[in-house]
Amino acid sequence: MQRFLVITLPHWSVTARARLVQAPVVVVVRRKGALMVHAASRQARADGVERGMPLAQAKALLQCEPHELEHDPAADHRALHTLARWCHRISPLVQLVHDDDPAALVIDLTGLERVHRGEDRLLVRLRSHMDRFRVECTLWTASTQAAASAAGWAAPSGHDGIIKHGEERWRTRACPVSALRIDPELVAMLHEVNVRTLDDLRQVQRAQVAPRFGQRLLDRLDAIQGLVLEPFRAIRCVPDIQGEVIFDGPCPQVEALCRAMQSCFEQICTQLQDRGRGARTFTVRVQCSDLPQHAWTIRCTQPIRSWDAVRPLVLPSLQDLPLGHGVEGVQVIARSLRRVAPVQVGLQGTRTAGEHGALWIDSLRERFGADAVCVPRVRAVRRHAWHEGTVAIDAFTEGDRDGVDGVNRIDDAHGMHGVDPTRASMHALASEPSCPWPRPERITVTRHGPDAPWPTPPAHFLWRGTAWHILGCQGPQRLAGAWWHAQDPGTRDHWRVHAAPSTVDPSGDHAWLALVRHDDGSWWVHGAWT
Amino acid sequence: MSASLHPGASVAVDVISSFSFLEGASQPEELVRRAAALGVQTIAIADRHTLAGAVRTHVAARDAGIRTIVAARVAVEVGIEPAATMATDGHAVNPATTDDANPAPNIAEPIDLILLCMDHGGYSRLCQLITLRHAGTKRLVWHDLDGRLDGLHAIVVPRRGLQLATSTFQQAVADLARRAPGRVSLALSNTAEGDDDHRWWQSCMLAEHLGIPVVATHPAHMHVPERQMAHDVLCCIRHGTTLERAGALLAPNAERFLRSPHELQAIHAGVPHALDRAQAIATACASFDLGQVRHRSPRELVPHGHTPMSWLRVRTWQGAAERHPDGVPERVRTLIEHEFTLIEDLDYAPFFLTVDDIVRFARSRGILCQGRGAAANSAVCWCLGITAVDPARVDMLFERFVSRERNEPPDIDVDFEHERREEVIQYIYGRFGRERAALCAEAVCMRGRMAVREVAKAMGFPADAVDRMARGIDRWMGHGGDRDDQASILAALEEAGFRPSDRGITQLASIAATLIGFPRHLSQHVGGFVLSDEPLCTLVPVRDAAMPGRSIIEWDKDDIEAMGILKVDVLALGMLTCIRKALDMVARCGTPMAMHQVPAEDAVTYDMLCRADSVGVFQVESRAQMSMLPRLKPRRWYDLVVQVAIVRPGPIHGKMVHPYLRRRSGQEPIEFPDDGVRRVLERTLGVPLFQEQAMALAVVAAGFTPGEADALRRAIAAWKRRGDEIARFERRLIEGMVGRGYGQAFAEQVFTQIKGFSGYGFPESHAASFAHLVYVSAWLKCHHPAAFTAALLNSQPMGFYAPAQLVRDAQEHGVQIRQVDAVHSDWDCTLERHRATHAPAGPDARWQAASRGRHHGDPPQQGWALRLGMRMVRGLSERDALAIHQSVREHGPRQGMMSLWRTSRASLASLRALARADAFRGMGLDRQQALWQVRALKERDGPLHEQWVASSKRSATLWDTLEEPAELPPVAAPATVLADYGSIGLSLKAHPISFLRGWLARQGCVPCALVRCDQALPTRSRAAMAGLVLVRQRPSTAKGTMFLTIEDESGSANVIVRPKVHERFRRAIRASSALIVQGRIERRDGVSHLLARSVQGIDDARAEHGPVTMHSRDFR
Repeated sequence: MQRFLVITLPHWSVTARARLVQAPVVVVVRRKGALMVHAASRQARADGVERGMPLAQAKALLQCEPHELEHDPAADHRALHTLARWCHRISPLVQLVHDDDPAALVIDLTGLERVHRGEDRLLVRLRSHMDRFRVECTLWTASTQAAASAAGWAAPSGHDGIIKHGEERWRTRACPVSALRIDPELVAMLHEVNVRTLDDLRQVQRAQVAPRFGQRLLDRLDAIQGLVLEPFRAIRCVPDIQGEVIFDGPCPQVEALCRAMQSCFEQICTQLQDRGRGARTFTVRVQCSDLPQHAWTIRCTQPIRSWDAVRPLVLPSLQDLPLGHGVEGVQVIARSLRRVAPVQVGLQGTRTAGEHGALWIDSLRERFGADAVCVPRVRAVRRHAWHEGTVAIDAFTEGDRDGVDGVNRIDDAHGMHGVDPTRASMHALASEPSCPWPRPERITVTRHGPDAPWPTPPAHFLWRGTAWHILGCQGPQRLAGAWWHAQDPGTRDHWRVHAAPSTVDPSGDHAWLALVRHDDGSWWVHGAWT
Repeated sequence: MSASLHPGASVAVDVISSFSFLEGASQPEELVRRAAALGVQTIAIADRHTLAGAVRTHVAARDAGIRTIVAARVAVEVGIEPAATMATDGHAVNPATTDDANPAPNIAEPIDLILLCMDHGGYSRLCQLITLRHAGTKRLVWHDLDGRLDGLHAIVVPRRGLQLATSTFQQAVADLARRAPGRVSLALSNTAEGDDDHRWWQSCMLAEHLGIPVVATHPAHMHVPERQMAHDVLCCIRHGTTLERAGALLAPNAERFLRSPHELQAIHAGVPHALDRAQAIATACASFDLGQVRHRSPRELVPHGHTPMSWLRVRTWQGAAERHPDGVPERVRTLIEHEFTLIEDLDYAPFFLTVDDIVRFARSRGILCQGRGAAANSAVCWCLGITAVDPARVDMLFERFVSRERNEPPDIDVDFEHERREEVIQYIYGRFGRERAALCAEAVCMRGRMAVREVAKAMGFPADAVDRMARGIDRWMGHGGDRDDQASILAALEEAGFRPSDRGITQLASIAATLIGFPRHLSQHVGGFVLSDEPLCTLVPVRDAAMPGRSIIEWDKDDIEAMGILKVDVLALGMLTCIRKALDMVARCGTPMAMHQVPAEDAVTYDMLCRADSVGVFQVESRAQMSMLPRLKPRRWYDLVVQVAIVRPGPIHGKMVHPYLRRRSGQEPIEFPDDGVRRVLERTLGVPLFQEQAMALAVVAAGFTPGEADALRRAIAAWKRRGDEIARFERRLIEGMVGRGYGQAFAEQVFTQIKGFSGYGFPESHAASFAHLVYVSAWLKCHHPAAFTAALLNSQPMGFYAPAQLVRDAQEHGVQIRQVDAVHSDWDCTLERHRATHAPAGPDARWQAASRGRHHGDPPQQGWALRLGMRMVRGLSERDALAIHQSVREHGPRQGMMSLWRTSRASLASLRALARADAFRGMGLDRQQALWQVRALKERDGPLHEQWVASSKRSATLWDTLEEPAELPPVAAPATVLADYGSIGLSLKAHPISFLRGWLARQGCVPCALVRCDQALPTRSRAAMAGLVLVRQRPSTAKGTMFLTIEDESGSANVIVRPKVHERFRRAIRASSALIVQGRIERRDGVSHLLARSVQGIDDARAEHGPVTMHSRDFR
């Protein structure tokens, strides 16, 4: 006789990602342009929020602003996989059911009753774990998966139970037909003819059910009583990829340590190669005979599986490592596995430029620390190229490049309206000084006349105590600020001037400078053209 | 203007308005007013590929006293070789010198031209060019200019970037200069974008090289620089992006605004010849303006030997003789002659003949039609059969329709049956051709909700926040020209949970308020046709409408009115369809009758109306009208005219309703200051209820001419938009009346009443037209309720009530209603003869005694029952329904489901829809069994299916006979009723609330019928009742009060929800389809209401088999 434990996980999308959030949580999904509630936390459901409800309506029902999450099936599946791996402590055979809602885990308990000192004790212990994890679920055991699953589906969250062998039919008689995990459209059709429970379904002539609703429905029904066997696809318990070298005795030489490290990484890289994956995180553990274990983690910007790539990240760390009387063993564990395309290597064995760049960045990170290496985030606003702080390297490599691409988003329709943004941006770049000062410097400017009705070009200016004479100028290029930003820089006039110090011969020492006049009338020099 | 100012600096030629959709950030009027204030003497608003804003510009310029040039901006495509790049010295590199081995591909980049009209011919050619632009490929290519440049001046506007230096551009400009010698200029502008100096130099060099002059321009997309925020947002809306992402799509600065002549001169200080050129262009275009455009109605309708006027006389007198077989009364004869004089003077005869032709066509096809609106003031229209208001019964004011002083074209509105209007439209296209007939446009403008939504999206607010903001905004905000839209938007946003102190929210409200009223695109008017004697595209640009086979002109109804263009409104009216169908049905029942043969002034019909028994009756079925009927007690046709007109915002705001009712009931004396006022106001008991009376009062009491009186009416109508204009008339009116001896108080009271029409009031002629339909529909309801209800159901969607209420009302009038049935029902609802002499009452007859007496008049439609048609079934196609009907007729009702499917070839979806509607009972199958059997059928398509159908006749019959009935769980009665509601929107079995009656009784709820019954529950007593919500109404005149109509198995009842109660129970009131209402009973003039104190949604759990799902009809 087989025994199965089914953990039914209603509202898994919320549980998987926000079970510890105090505020009401709604997971939203976009359908036909509208945001709809896909799942809601217990707190939100208590206020009347239901699945399928528009988000705006849900917000109207809630007492406070909910925590919103985008529906992410992949993340839900990963979380379910994690829970399934945790369940391997109950049984090595765990099956994942995540193709519909609610999600479920099916655990084959056959022969394990004595290990767990009976199913009732197992359920009590498991319930306490689930409560501690704050996972909403029902726990049901039965001789068939289908019976346990149907009972778990119908029971309210937190209501667990055991169905003894032979009781499957009458214990599930009041379960709704949807507990058979069939297509919702099929459920609606059954409701139309007033077949709402499993008992109703069993009353109807079987010969008439199959032509109308398919044999699969009857198979599901029969599976409850074990008349039809359901397949069981257990997930595999995949260990971390690791490499290990144990010395015969304490070894004090750094060179030996390096060779051992290389051996560990080569073991790992071979396994990664076989799986078509790379790792972004490596945990290195060095066990010395008389010192506490040294352990550190190497994080990479790209998934890698080559000792050549890892070597510059590992070996410098070993040079100054205190080894005491000697190293007894080395262990390296690879984590954060990612799928990697086969490496395309040139005829001379060269790698692509991007890979070189990534390795260079990794080296910098190893040398100066992860927080010290950033890339500037550039965003095109009007024609300014605003430097909006910096972005961590990880984000850069992960690909949030909206700000960078903003300039290049060209709408064809715009071509019909007169401005070609590509060209505009090209001109904008041309007007930027080729040598911008690190900080603009304030200057005093004299002009020939007032601004009104049209800006008058500057004639002279005083900069660093020297009077400059303007020989010629272009402009102004008047740039309005981003008024929708809290720190709107206002409108500025940019002038490109050809200037020379008044004290020298104008035909001699001179420069092309970028002068900027701010809203408040102040003048600044921003840089020069070489 | 200072002495040193160059005259060319007072010419603004590169200006776009909001009619360059989502690009220009100022309305034409704003630009013109600003230009006038700045001292600009000539302005040319050149919108992109359109003249849609030209009339508004023309009118605004006329008012502001400046000159305008009719112009448009077009983009013409030519090939450009990108290899022709700019060299370092600024010269273009000849493409011929580039690398021959790598020839550059040609790319098409349009050249922008501003085309300015110098004469009428040029204007016509510009209209044709724009029409061409909107046809087919939606673009213009260079050879489209062939022969279309005469009479036009072209200003070439080089695009920013490299275009100026390309050889193709230079060749194109040279070609243009050859085609239009002396009428081509190159635009010279400076918008402080950095490379202006270089571009100036390039432009001047090119102009010198080609021998064409440069002209001083300054691109203006807004009238003041403060509009830059709106301009940026419009840019984002146009490109479907946000401000954060827009980047270089946004204009770099706010310099594109209307410059003063001084500024323009300063900008072009170095090129005085460019200013000279601007002045020369203004002079060359001075001889033409839009006022010279003339429209002529089609002339081909006049037979040989007649002029339009003589033929109109013939047609009119023929019609008059038919209308008055006993001889035309002298009064009518005088009216007709008076109208003839005006019509002849203003040359409107062809227009009348055109409308006459359309109406005659409709009549020849049996399509009911009737004129309405101001046209009903015309005796000529009455004689021609266009309108139905007899001049002998109503005092007509022809000046309301046609006025010599006003010199504005009349428009004639004609209603046709809504299901057959398309036949009329296709006749018009066929008769006059697509080139001479088009609908006028409707400029779809941003209103509050749309503006907030679009601006919020452009500002990058998250999608759900945008939704929340938009939902809080009144959809019609800005429609009535509210002056403080920004404050209203801020208040609404605060209510939706956004902080008004937040900078982004303030900006949003400010920009959205600015954009309210901005046109977004052109759509088609509901039915306003413009017909012309010559091709319309020489008069105004024409473009294809979104609906296939339709074309629209670029001007809306206000524009064509300003331009003096005649239009005929071909409108659709559902009630005409209903009346025609009802009369057809009555004829099939043995009483053939036409609309004009309906007996006049039938007392039983008026009795019915006095009881407010008017569900389904045209115009008087709304909650407010039903409350008014017992108070007004109509006893003759003119009372219906008053009834139709009095429940309108105009009379309500003008405080005319209560004085009228008091005088009618004798509670207040009817007094007139003199005979002149008596003549005007006598028939409405001294209270001005109609627009014509307001005008006549101004004439009689204040000495206005009829034209001035009409101007007063227009000023009142536009009071909210142009508040200053009314002040001028107020003083004139009051002083005029006082000067003629009327008291100051009386004068002010009259003005207050007249001002009330600024809300919305009917002209008497319009009300009279509608009153005719009110009477006919009421007579049909009273004497032929089964036919009337069937016609109403067959004409859905229309009217105020859902089919469930119409059916219920018919049952209360003794009509037997029969279920939809695949065997007995046709697509439409039909009448069936039944044996019972007395039809059973409604679903719950025990409440009939308590409810209002329904059939006091003639016995209802003896011997005829109403069979619901298959059109009531949701999800059923007409084709399949008819096929099933045909199959049943041919093969009989005893065939099984498989056989029916095989013989009818209906889709499974249709069979399933019929099964859900419980429509197979005639075949011996209840809903469950029918659904069970349909479920067994499998959809098959293609040739194999055909083969199978041909070969399976025997097997189908065998299948039908062999399968035993399934043993399915029995269905409870409430679930059956709810399933009925789900499939056909009503149930003949029971009312959903009846299943909750026991529970409701324990909650203290009484049936709705008792609330109406004075003996059961006295006035001002407390009561609670429950029911499905039929109608929610929150009219603007009610100051936040909501009116609900709820229904249970005993009938319906009215509920009044005051604003405070509404706010408190807002969620239940808005969201629940069934309510429990507690409150106090109010009764007045036989009308009962429950004044709500608390409202509670009925818990869905109370409905045992699913929630009560029914959609109410909500109105404002």
